[in-house]
Amino acid sequence: MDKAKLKQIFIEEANEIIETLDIEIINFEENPNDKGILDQLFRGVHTLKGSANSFGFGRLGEFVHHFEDALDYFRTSDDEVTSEVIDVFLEAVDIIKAVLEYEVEEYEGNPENYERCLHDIQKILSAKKDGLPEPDLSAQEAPTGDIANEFDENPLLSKLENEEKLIEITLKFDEDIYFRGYDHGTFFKLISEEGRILESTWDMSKVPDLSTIDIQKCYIPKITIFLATTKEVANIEEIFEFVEADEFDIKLVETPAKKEAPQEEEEPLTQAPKGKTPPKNQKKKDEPKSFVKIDTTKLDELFDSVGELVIAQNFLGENRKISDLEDEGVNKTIETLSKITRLIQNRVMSLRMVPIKDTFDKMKRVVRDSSKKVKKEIILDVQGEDTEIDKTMVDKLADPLIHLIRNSVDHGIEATAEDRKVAGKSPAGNVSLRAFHKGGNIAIEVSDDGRGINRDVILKKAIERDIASPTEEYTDSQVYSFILQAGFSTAEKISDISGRGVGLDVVKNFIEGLHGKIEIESELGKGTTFRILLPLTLAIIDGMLVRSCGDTYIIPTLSIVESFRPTEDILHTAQGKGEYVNLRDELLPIVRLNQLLGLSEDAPPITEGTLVCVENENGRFTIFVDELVGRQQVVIKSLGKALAKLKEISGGAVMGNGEVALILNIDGIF
Amino acid sequence: MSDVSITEEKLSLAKVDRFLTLYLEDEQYGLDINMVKEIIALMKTTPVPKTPHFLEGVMNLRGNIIPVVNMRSKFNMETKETDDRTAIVIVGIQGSDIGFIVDRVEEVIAVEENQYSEPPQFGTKIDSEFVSKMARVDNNVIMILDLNKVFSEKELNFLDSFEEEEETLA
Repeated sequence: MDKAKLKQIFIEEANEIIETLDIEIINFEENPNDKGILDQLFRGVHTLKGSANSFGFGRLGEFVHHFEDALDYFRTSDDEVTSEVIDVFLEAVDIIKAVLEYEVEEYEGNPENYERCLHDIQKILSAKKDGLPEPDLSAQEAPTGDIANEFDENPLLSKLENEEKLIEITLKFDEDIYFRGYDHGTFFKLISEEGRILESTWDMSKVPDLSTIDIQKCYIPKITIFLATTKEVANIEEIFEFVEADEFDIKLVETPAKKEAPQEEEEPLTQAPKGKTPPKNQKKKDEPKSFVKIDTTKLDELFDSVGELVIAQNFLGENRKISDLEDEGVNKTIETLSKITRLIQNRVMSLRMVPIKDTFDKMKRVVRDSSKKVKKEIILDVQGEDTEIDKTMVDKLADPLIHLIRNSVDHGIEATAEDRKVAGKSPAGNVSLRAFHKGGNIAIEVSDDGRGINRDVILKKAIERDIASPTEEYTDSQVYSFILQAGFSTAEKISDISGRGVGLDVVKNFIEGLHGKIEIESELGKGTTFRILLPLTLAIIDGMLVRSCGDTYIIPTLSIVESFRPTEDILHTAQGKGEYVNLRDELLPIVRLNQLLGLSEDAPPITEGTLVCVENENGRFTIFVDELVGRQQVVIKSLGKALAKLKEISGGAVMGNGEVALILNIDGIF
Repeated sequence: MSDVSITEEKLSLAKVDRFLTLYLEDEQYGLDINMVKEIIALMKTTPVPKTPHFLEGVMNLRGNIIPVVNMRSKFNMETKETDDRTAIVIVGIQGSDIGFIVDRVEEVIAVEENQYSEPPQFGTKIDSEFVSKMARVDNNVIMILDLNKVFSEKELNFLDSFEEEEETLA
């Protein structure tokens, strides 16, 4: 493997470790008595140090080394880890991220705050050491040594079977051992009766030239034998009953997992840092899940191929000639084929699904940082972290969620605990993060129990900024949606975290990019909920097929409120302002799809077609189409960069007959 | 342009370039074979609203959706009834696949360096700026198309050119 490739792997692994560091530190702050988490942290950092140094990433290695020392101190002592220490730790993780970038990009110098943070870490350590009644340096060193052994894990451990243990036997026979009636052969025979000798290392450095050799003398000062056995160390010692005690040394080679076993039984093996195979002797207890890392582009390719398979299968299923055959065998085969195809499609889909937990875990740090900054006490409640979501979406969700959470902490929750007391609430603000399934979509909610949105203030601001018209009546949700508009910020004071007016519209764009939408619910004085609705996957949407001027278009069902055939009495024409339909006392504009897309100028009577009521950020309106064709799940395809700027069309889908139908972009058409 | 020079180096022994020849009306054109991905029979395309007139629509090429350009419309020629020889040439331009509808494709020809001549300034049916050079092979005159030029970075974005089109109409 060439170096560039190795480096790539290192970077990936390092990033993985660094990501878990953040999460583990926050976890540890929540459970300060669980030293197991510190061990986990320490192990991650240790691995990082090793690989950083082996790549000659000195700056990273150096920094991580000190961080490791600090972690090790808290891991092995009973000292309390204070909130200030956690702060330093978290900053250290940020610095590690930055240093890694510096190393990878081969920048000169050190990232900002490198020295200061390093100093902070050292300060923690020196303060602690000075504070100890007996600054026992050897005690400091000792565990590190042990750990080193623990991590230079003996590869032979992996060769053990069932109940076997690995025992290291060191023989340091004196020169006169043959005189005393023993020889190596005898011992080897005896040892091999107790188990399997996996490896023996002979120190031959003292063996002289053949011509000068004294055959009665033992020239081998040291032999190391690794024995796999089910017997105890004491049984092996019996073999050496008759040789001097200083001539042999027998010890058990411990497996790292065994050492941890009493501490954290419930920890899943799969979370163990990479490169450490779980010892085989634990196999019976808990069969570890095995994972394969796959390039996501390969998954996408597989997904594409399956998409084609589905299309080809549909083609077969819809083929008249075949269905006219009325041959039971053929029909059955096609039915089976369709079942298998759907099964494959579902399985391939599930490959892309990952629990949202990782993203949610990152939010803990966000809440911690932002609540500290604005000096509010916040309790974060997380629910539904096992909800699975498309991998590509998970990656893109982090930023909008960070925004929403910061918004809740900064603007949602009351400025001071006093304000909350006056409102009859607990002094600490509650922010909750929930994920759940909602009617074929995934809903992610960020709620707070804070001030709530002041409808009148928003409306006033919106009118001031020309986003809303002063004469029009708006529903609550329409008013709330104004805060998602670009350049809209009602915060009186601009804080470091949010309120720069570039916040929530970015979130909206992100979510729309994922074919999702945002809903806002709020009650003044009680709190606000932002709900993100996302399709299960980016690749497939549920669509309503409609026809206009002979062409088929797809309207995403997520945007559809209802569809209906209008009667004459609810239709209105406003002079010069277009057509409207009165739907349960709500006057909705009518958009004729054929005219909107420039397909034709025909204007058939509205009563001859169907109105599809849709909703976007600007509210509800209806689209006039010739007819509804049906509802179908379609695989979204991009039309390529040449057509990416079309605002009315968001993509295309290949239909069962192999032809392409265009997907309407509801947000872009009205 | 560097691509071309590499190709020329590779073929420096023979000093030949290869072109796919195709017909629009009665004139023969050549397309650098390195740009041609495949040739398929005409299939149904889906028209895309609000795009320039020469964009015939989009089609499904084994699961991927690609735009299809009508060459005759692009070169402002009269439209013609399609027949069984009408073909779509799939060309890779700047990383995107684009289909081009042509009257018919003929063959792949080799052109030696001494067979080239400068493009004509007038007298052809299409805008001479799209013809990079001419080649004379077996008494046939072949106009070598430069699709990179025909669809420059700006023009690749159909919408931009559509807007321009609208402006000129207005």
